[in-house]
Amino acid sequence: MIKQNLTRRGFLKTGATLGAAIVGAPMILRAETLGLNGHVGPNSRVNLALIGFGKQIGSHVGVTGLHNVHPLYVCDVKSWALKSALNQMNSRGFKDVKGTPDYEDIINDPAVDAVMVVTPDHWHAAISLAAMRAGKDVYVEKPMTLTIAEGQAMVEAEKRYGNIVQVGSQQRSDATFRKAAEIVRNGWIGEVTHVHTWLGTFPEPVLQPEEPIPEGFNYDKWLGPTPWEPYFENRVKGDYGGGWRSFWEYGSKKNGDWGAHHFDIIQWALGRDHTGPVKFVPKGFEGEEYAYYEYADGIRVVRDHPDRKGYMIRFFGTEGEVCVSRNGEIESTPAELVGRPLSPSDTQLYRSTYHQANWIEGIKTRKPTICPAHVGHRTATICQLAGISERLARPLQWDPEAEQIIGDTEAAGWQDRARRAGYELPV
Amino acid sequence: MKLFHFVFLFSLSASLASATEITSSLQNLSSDNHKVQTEARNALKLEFADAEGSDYLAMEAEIIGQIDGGLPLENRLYLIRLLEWFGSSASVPTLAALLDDSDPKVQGSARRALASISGDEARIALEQALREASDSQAPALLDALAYRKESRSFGLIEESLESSNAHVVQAAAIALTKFGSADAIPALKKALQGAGVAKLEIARALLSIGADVETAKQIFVDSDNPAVRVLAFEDLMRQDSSAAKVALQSLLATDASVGRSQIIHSAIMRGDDSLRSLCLERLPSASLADKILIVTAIGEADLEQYEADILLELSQAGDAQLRERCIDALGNIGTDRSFDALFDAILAQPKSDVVLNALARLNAPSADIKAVESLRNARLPVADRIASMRVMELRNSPGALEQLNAIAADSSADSKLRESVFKTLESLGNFETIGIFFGVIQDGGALMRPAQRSLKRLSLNLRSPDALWAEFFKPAISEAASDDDRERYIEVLDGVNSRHALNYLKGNILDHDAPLRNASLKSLSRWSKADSILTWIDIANASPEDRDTAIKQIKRSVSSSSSSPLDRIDKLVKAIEKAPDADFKLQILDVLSNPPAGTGWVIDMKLPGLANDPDVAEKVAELLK
Repeated sequence: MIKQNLTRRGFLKTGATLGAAIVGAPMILRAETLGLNGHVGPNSRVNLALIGFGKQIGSHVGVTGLHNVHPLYVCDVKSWALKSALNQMNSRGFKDVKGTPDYEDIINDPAVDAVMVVTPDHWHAAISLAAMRAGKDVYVEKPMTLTIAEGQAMVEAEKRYGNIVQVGSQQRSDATFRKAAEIVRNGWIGEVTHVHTWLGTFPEPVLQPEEPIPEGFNYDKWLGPTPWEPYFENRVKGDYGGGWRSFWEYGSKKNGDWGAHHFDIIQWALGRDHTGPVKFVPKGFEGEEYAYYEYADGIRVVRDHPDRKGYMIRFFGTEGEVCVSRNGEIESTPAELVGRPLSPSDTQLYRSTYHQANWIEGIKTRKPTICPAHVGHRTATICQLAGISERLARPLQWDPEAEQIIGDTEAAGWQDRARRAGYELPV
Repeated sequence: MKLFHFVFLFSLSASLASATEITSSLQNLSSDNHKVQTEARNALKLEFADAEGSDYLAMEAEIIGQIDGGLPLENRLYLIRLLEWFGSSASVPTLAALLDDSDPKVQGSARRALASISGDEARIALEQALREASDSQAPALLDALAYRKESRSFGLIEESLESSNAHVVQAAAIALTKFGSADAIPALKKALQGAGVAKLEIARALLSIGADVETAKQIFVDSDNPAVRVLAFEDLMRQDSSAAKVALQSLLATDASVGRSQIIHSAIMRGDDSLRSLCLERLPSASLADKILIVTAIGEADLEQYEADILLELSQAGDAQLRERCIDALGNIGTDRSFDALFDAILAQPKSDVVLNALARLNAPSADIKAVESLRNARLPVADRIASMRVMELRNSPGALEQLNAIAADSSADSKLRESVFKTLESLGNFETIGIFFGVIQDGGALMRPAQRSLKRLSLNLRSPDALWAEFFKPAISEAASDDDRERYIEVLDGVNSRHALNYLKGNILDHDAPLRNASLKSLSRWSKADSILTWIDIANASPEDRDTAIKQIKRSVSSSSSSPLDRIDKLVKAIEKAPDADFKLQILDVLSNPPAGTGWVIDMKLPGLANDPDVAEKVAELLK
C-alpha cells in the first residue's frame, strides 16, 4: 500500500485531479497535520474566511483567537469595511490575511476549509450554498435564509455533501436557555399550553431621496439577488434599530431579528426541530391584538404579549411555567425546577458552551453542530411565514411535512423569490 | 381568446369606480414627498393583494397601463414587482415586451415577474426569450424556467446542455438539478462526455438526480471537488454496497484524499455493516485524524456494538483530543461496562465538561446503585464514600437524596464525610435539607460554618426566597435563643433574595440601637442581587450616617453580574428617583461613566427617563452621548 502525501502548495500547483497529482508528488508532511481540501486533521488549523464585516462581525472575530483557527480571507463589498477588517486581523497578529470584495475568490480557493457568512440575510443562502458545493463548512448568521426555498436548498446540500453547518442561533449555546428548554422538554411544567415571546418592532422604513453611491462600495453586489432600488444610506446600514433590517427585501424584519433567536429556543424546548407550526395569524387581522402562530397540538406562540414577567420568553404549562431571557435570567414555577439536576433517564439536550467553537470542533471531528442547517431551516421558516402573513395581512395555513402553504396559491408563491440575473441560487 | 378580451373589457369598464383607489396611489408613487411615496407603495401592495374579480382585473390593467407611462425607473420597477407578486396572464404581453427593454434592470424585473406568474402564457414568453437569447442572457432565463418548475420547459432546458458556452451549460445543469427529474439523465450523461469547465456541474446534476453506479464510480475517481466526491460516494452507498466498499478502500489507502473526512463520517453514519467494519478494522492502526473521525461517528450514530472498541481505544489513547472524543462517544453508547473508565476519567479531570457530560448521560443504572450503596456502607473508607458522591451529584442518582439527607442529619457520622455531603446537597438538596442545615447551624460546632456555606448555596439554587424566608429563616431568627445565634442565620441571608429578608435587615440597620445592626449591615453589604439597591436607598434616605456605605454598595450591585443588566439599570434609575439629594444622585450615576459590560443597550433605553431631572440632566446627556 503506497501512502501518498501532498503538501497544500503541491496540490494547488498541479490544479489537476487528485489522480494525476499523486504521481510523482513529494512525500513531505503527514496528512494529519495538514488542512487539506476535504480533510482537516486534528492538529491542523482550520483555514477560515470571514465574509461580511458589518455590525455583527464583532460577535465572530473572536473565533480567530482559537488556537486551531487560521483566517485566510476577509471579504466585504465596502472597501472601508474591508480595510478595517484587514486592520483587525493585523492587530490580532494575522499579517498574511487576504482581503477581497468578491466572495467567489474564497469559494474558488481550495485552501479555505470553512466560511463564516455574516452578511445581511438576503445573501446568506447563495454564499453558504456556494461554499457547501465546494466542500467547505459553513457558519451562517441567523436567520439561515431569506426564503423557505433557499432553506430547503441548504438542507438538501447539507444532506448531500455532509458539510458541517452552524446557524448562528447562539442562544442554544447558552446554559440558561438550555436549562429552560430541558425543563420544558422533560415535562416538569406539565403540558405546554402557550408561549409568550417578545420581539419588538422596527420603525417602518421610509423611502429617501437617492444618494450617490459611496466610492469603493459595490452596491450592485450588495443588492445581489434583490430588486434594484436607488441607493440611500439607510437602506444598507447595519443598525440594530432598523437599517436594512427594516426592509422586507433583505430580511424578515423582527421575525428574522429577535424572532430567529426566540422562535428557535421555542422550537428546541418543544422538541419541534423536525417540524413546525401549522397556522400563522398577523396582528390586526379581525381584531387580533397580537400576532401568533400555532402548532398542530394547539400550542400557541404569541408575539409581544406583555404578560411575560419582563422575560423574553415565557412558557406556560399545565403544572407550572418557566421564563427565560439572556444574561442568565431564568425563573420557574415551582421555583426549584431551575436548580433541579438531570438524571440519565431525563432528556439531556446537546451541550455547547461556545457556539463558534462548537462549529470548529465539528469541522475537525465531523460531529454535527448544535444548530445544523436542517434545524436552522425550521426556525427560519417560522420567521418567513410570519413575515409573509404580516406582509399579506392575512392568516396562513402551513403543512410542515410537505413544507407548503395550504389553500392560498398566491401566498405559496412567496415561499421563494425570483432573483436578479447573475445572482442565481446555486444548488 | 376573443371572448376573454370581451369579458375583460366589460369588467374593466364596470369597475372604473373601484380603480380610483389605486389611481391616487399610482399618482403618489411619483410624489416629491418620500413618505407619501412609501405609503403609496404599501397601499398599492395591500389593495392589489386584497382585490378580487373585476376589481382585481381593473387594477391590474391600470398598473399595466402605467408601466410605460414615463415614470421614473424605480416606480416602473415597483409596478413590475406588483405584477410579479399578484399579476395574471393579462400582464404577460406587456412583460414579454419588456424583456427587450433598453434598460437591463427593466428586462430583469420583467423576467422575474414572468417567472412568478402562473399559466402557460408566461412560460411560453420565457421559452421564446430563451430561444432568442444571447449566451449572456441565457443563464438567467434558464433560472427563470427552473423557478417555474414546469415539465413542459424541460426539453428546451436540456437543449441548452449542448451550448458551446460553458456558463450556459452550467446554468442548464443547475436548472435540471432543480427539476430533479430522472428524465434528464440521458442528456446529462451525454453532456458529461467531453464537457470541459462545465463537467463539475453536470456531474453534480447527475449525482443529485440519480446517476447509475458506473457513472457514480467514474465521478468518484475523477473529481477533485470534495462535495461532488461525497455525493458520488453517497450514491454508491445507496445503490451498490460493493462498489462503495471499493471506493472506501481506495480512499482509506490514501492519506490525503479529497473529501476524506466527510466520506469516512458518511460511511459510518449511513453505510452498512461492511463499510463500518472496514473503518473499524483500521481503527487500531489508523492515523490520529482517522481515529478521531471514526470514534466520533460511532458515538453520533449510536453504534452500541462498538463500545468495546472505543473502550480499548480510550485505554491506549495518548492524545487529549482523541481521549475526549472516546469519552464523548461512550456517553452516547456506553453501558455499565464503561462506567469504570469514565469514573477514572473524572477523577483525573474533575472539571472537564466533556467528561462530566459523558458520565451524566451514561446508560449505566448499576453505577447509580453502586454509588448509593457505597455511600451507605459505613465499612468503606471515607474517601471511597466521598468519591461515590461525585457520581450521584452528576447523575442525580435515584435514592441519593434520601441517603445524603440521612448522613447530613447524623451528628455521629464522620465529619469529613458530612462536610462532603453538605457540598453535594448544594445541588441535590431539597427543603428537607434546608431544615437539616438549620439544625446543624443551631447546634453550633465544627460543622456550623460548612453548613452555613452550603445553606446559602442551596438556598440560591432552590430559588424560593419567600418560602425560605417564611418557613425557615424567619422562624429560626425569631426563635433563636440569643442574638449570637440569630447572627448565624443573618450571616447567610444573602442566599435568600427575598423582599421580606431585605426589609428585616433594613429594620435592624435603621435602628441604631439594635444589637443586630452591625451583623445586618455586613449581611446586606454582601448582597449581590440588584434588589438590594432599593433597600440601600431607603437606608440612605433615613440614615445620613450610612449614606457613604449605601453609595458604595449601590455601585457594587450595579457592577455585579449576578443580576441582569436590565434589572440592575432599572433599579439604579429607581434609586436615583428616590435619592435624598443631587450629590447622592450624581455619585451613583457616576458608576455608569465606566458602564459594566453588557449594560450599554439598557442604559440607552432607561436613562432617558432621567433627562427631566435637573439634578442629573447634564450628566445623563453626557452618558448618553
